[in-house]
Amino acid sequence: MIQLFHVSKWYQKDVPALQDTNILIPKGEFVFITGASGAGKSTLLKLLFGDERPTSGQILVHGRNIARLSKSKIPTLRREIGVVFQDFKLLSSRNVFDNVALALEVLGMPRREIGRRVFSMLKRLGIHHKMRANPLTLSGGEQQRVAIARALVNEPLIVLADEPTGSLDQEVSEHIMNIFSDVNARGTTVVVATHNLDMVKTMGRSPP
Amino acid sequence: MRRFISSLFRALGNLRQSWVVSTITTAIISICLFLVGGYILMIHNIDNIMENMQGDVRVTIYLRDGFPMSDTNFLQDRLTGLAEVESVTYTSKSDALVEFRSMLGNDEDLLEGMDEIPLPASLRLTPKPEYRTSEGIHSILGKIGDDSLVEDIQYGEDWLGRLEKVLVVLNTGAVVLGGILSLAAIFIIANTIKLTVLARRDELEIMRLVGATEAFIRTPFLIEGLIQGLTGAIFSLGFLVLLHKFVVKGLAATVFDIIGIRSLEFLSTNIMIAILLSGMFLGGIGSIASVGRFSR
Repeated sequence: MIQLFHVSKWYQKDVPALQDTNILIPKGEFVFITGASGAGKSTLLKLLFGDERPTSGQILVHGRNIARLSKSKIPTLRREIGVVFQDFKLLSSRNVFDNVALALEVLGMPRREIGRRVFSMLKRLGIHHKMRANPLTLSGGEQQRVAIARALVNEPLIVLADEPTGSLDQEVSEHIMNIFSDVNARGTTVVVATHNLDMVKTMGRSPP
Repeated sequence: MRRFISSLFRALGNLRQSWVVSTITTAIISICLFLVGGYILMIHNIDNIMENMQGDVRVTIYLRDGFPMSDTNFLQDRLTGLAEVESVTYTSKSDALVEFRSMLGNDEDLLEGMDEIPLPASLRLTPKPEYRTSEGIHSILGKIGDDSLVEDIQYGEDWLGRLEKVLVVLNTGAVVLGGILSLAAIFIIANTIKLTVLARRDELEIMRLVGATEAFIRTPFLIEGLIQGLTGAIFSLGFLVLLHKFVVKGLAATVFDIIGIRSLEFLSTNIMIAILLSGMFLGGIGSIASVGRFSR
C-alpha cells in the first residue's frame, strides 16, 4: 500500500512541484497518474522511490515512512520497487543480459541463480534471443522491454513507470502497457505516470 | 570475503571494459609519480655530493718549531679526547715536504738547494660529521684555546661558509619545489580520476536505482583506483631505474671524480615503498572521493 499525507515538494521558493498532496494506492492496484508536463508526475514517482525527499508531509510505502528513511536504508526500499523510465536508462557498456542481471547482482545473488532468473525474465518479455546484444542496437520497444525486465527481475512489490511509452509508437506502446497489465495481474502494484490520456482510455480505466 | 572477491572481479571486468581510459589514467599517475620520484632522486644525489664536500672539512693546526715532541703528543692526545673530534693525525716537517713534493710533481726541482725544510709540522684534525660546520669548527677552536705550541690554524673558513649558504638555499628550494611538484601531481591525478568517474556517472545512477548499497558501488571503484595507482607507481619506478642507468652510463667516471662521488645512488627502499604506497593511496582515495561527489 502507498499512502501520501499532505505531501509538498518545493524545488525553488514560490514554485511548488507538489502541494498538499494526499494519495492512497491499495496493494495490487494499477494506477495512472496523468497531467500536463511539469504537473509534478515525475516528482511524485521520485518521492516514492526515495530519489527526492518531501519538503513536508509523510509518505508510507508498505508501512515504511520513507520521508524519514535514512540514506543507508534507501537501497533496501529500492529493491522492493522496480522503476522504468522514458529514456530506458540502460548501460551501453553492458549487454542486455548484464543490464538485467545488475538488479540481482546488487542483492549478492549467486551467479547461477542470476542466470536462471534473468533468462526466464527475458523469455517472458520475448527478448531472450537478444540477450547478448548491446542495448544500443535494439529498437526503442526492445530497449524498454529490457528496462522492464530489469525492473521486474527481482520480483518487486511495486513497479513505477515514468512516461514508459513516451518515445514509442502506438503499437509498441500498447505492447508495453500489456506487459504492465500482466505484471499487475500477478499481484504487483503498478503506478504509471503519463501525459497520454488516450493510452489511459485504451487501458480501460478512467484517469483519477 | 565472497563480496570482496565479487567486487574484485567486477573491478577487473571494469578495467578490461574501459581499458583505454584505465590505461590513460595509469599513464598519468605514472608520469606524475615519475616526476616526483625523479625530483627526489636528484635531490638525494645532490645531498650526497654536498655531504661528501662537507666530509672534506679538516682543521690544520700548524705547530711552532723548537718544542719537544712530548708537547706535541700532549696536544694531540688532548684534541683526540674532545667530543667533537673524530681523529687527529700528526704530520712532521719531513712528511709535509714529501707531500709538497708530490703536489709539485714535475716542478719538484724548485725545492732543490734548500738546506732547511721550510714547512711546519702540523696536526690534522677531522671533526665528527655533525661538527663539520662553521659552528662546530668554532666550538673546537674554542677548546684548543691559546697554546704557545700553535702557530696558526686553517680550515677553509670562507669555503665552508659559502658551502653552508649553498646548502641552505638548496634545502629551502628543494622543500618548496618538492611541495609544489607534489601538489601538482596530486591535483592532476585527482582530476584525472574524477573525469574517469564522471564518464561513468550513468552507471552510478543506475546502480543506485536498482538498490545497490554505497559499499557495493564504491568497493570496485576503490579496487580499480588501487590497481591503477599501484601499476602507475610500478611503471614510474621502472622508468626511474632506466633514467638512473642512462644518467650513470652517460656520465664518465671522471665526472664522478670531479664531484667527489663514486656513482649516483638510486632511491632508498623506503622511498620506493613510499612511492608505491602514494600511488595506491592517490588512486584509491581519488576514486572513492570522486564516486562520493556523484552520490545523492
